[in-house]
Amino acid sequence: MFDTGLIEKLVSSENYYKKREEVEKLRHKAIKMSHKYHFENNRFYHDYCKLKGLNGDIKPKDFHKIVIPDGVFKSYEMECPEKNPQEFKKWVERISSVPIDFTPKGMGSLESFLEEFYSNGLMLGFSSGTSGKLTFLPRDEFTRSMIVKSYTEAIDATLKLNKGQEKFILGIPKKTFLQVGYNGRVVAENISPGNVFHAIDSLKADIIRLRMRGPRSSKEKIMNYFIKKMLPRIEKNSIKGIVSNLEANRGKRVVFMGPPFLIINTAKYVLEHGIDAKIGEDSFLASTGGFKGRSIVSRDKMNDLIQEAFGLDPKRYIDLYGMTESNSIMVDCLEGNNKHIPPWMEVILFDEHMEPIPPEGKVTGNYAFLEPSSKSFPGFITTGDKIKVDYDGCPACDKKTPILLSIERLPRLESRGCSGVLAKTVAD
Amino acid sequence: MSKLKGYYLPKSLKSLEKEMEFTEKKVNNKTILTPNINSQNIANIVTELKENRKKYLSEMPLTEIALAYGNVSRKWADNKYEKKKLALELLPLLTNLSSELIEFYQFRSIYKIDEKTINFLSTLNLPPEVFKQFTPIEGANTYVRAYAGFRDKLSLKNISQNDKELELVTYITPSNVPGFIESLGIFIASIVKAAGLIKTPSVQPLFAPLFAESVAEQNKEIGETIAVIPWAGGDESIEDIIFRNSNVVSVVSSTQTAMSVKNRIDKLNREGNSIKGCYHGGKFGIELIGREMATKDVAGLAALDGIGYEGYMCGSPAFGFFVEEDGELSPIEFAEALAGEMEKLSKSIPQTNFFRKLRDVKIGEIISRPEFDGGQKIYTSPKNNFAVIFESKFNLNPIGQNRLIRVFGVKSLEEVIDKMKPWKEYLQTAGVALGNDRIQKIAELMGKTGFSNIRVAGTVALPRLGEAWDGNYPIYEFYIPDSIQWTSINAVDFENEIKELIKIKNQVITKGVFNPNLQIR
Repeated sequence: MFDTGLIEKLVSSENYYKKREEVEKLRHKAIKMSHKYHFENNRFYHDYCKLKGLNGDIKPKDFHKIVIPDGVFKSYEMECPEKNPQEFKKWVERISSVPIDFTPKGMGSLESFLEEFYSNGLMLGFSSGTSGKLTFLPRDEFTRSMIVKSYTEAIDATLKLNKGQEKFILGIPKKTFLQVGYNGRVVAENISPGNVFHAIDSLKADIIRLRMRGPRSSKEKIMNYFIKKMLPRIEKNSIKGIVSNLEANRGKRVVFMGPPFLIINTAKYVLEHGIDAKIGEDSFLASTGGFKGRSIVSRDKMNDLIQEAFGLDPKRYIDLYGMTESNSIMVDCLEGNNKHIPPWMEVILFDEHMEPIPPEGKVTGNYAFLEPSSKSFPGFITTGDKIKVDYDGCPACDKKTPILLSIERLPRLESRGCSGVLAKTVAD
Repeated sequence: MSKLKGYYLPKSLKSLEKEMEFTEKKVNNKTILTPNINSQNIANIVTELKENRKKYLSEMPLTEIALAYGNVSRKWADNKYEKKKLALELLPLLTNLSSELIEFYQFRSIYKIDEKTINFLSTLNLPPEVFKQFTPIEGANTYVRAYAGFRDKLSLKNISQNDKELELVTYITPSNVPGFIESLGIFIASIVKAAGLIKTPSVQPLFAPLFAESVAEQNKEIGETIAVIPWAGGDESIEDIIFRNSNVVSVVSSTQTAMSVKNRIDKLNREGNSIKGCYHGGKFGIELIGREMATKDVAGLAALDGIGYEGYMCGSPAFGFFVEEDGELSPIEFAEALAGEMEKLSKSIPQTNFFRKLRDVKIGEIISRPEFDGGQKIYTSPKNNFAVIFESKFNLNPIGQNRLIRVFGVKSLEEVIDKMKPWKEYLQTAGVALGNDRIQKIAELMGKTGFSNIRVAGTVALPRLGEAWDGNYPIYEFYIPDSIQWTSINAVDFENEIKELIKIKNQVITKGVFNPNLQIR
């Protein structure tokens, strides 16, 4: 049985401030519960654990053994899932921990195929590598609710949001199964229902796949040609939409969130056109995912642009770090702009010999996490990122959680952040 | 903390060595020094190598060269040799390969570099029949076949009259088979009486300098014609000087690196240089087990092939092990027997945690596929030493590294070979277990499909005298264009060879790999 009450108790902003040992005890209890549930309900995970000589009961000393490779979530063999709906369903059933009791028809496009799953209770959120092979994460209703709760609690621990009152300006699509877009939308709409502006209306999975992997047929080549022609206009219109909303909220508190390249280009547009888009000084600006696919702009340069264009203290610009496979984000604190690891996530770092590194002091390693809040798939995952963590915590704020000092992609893996997908999709 | 040289230079370059700056790499309680090479250093090195070569090597009798390398080989075969002890202490830390694996595959290949090998290669003259069929080669337990056009046949005919002197041979070596290619490069340069310049991989700069020092211990003059140095691959300020001064540049690396060097050498040749490039990029291997050889002992030989270099050698059976139906063991029984043999062999040739973890990642991806809900079978090791997966659905996917052994049942091996055609440019080695009456026919089919090394099961990671390599023929490739495709079979009597190899495999299981009486074939 999946103890949702235990998870609700763990995923709370209060736990950022509680004694580490106390939260760790709760987190470990939740991981053990979650592991047992997935061991009993997920056929792949059951076999994987059995291969490692593990059963449904796990001890913290063995936590590093239960992490599964992120490649599992794109291990399906067909090139186009929508063309092989039954085979694809079998794959989802194998990696999922909740039953799938409907028969997908595969109605033409990938987008409508994903829509079919969604209308039957299972969201297949995706991100993509440059190969165009999409990573799919099956999320049931409870797991999706945990995205909202994890994001909200993490943001709440830092920003103290006025629920129902915040005005959100989002540089992400309103309708998309791209996980980063979905997460931003549902979190914003949950915090301030009806008070969210989306700069982009929709971004279809078929277009993203085409842009990431390149055209494979003459039909796709033609489509790609027209999409390439159209995208700069879409980006420009998005920027114009964002700017007119910023103007309309001049001097007021807003939360402006988007991929960094869109924030930069919006700031440049504002400055080039001499527009007054100075928002309230208690506003927030948030970006996520880095600059993959676009030229990188330094934090200092971004700070200057943000201050000049939006009149915002750079300390109120926060960068978020998340992953498609995770329900959570790491948020910069305002005091020191340090990214805090949420107390409901257990981070495990592996050294170059693939051995777990003791969680002490400042250490760098290959990043894996244990997130017990995922009910529909095991949230115990190794990633393609190498991170540096300071387990001694933040020198600038009162939170008790470890902080993230740096992030880099491991070279063997594709560039595949969600922001990278957005950047590459709209790049020329 | 003792300091070790992660480079080797001739004694005549002592003054240059004193001027150079070094980077330190700490391993255990030792520090490995590697020089930060600049263009001036490299110009001095290649000039000196060529002068030394003229002075000491160009007129040296082959018997003297053969004796030196024979002695080197015997030194390394001695478990008490200090350089070997040092290599076996540090190479596992640098490469993550166990010392037993390094001994069995790398060092035992080096022990074959002896007088017999040198005499064979230095008097190489393949008969014209090789263009018609697999032909036994005098002095080696090998069949060779060449696929070529008329002009290629002529150029091969002319090779025996070739008196072109080679002054400098450069080898760019890989990290996946640590040490073997470096030692091969050093010795082949010497037998064509050229100076040898070896670029070591950055992860493992240690072995080649130790080997070069061994050569110098045996023959100071040969030692003056060798240099082993690391540099940043692709640094044109260094590589252009090296390439312009080399008669031959041999690259054994990723396809990307090999092609990048090729483009640069092609450009230099268009500018009037005459450099022979030998390019060896990434390849994948396969294991083919005929029904007549589907036995428990042959499964043990297949296991040796799967263990070799943890599956990262270009010949390793990364595509999997394909077993014909209707043999003494069915394909699934063969998979089970393979697991049993892997367990026994892994005690003598253990795997390190590094590769275990990499295997876990790949297994995770494989068993997440729906067919694992039934029909597939996984045989695991109680101590996580390997995983053998019997897959019911035929597929060609080169993911069999880290002792992840994938076994497939097939109606006929010919069918598998036919399906390999789309992978032609990545084909090189196949481990094969067949009766003598089938080998020639299947080898011909394999040669035409693009395989160059047909090796008896159990020897995939143990190259032999007289074999082709990667579609070329050693030494010949320095002189003639690459348009001839060379294919070899590394045993004349397959059935007898398998019997002998089974004895060695059983000895490895009972007495380990450091047994001085362990036969070398």
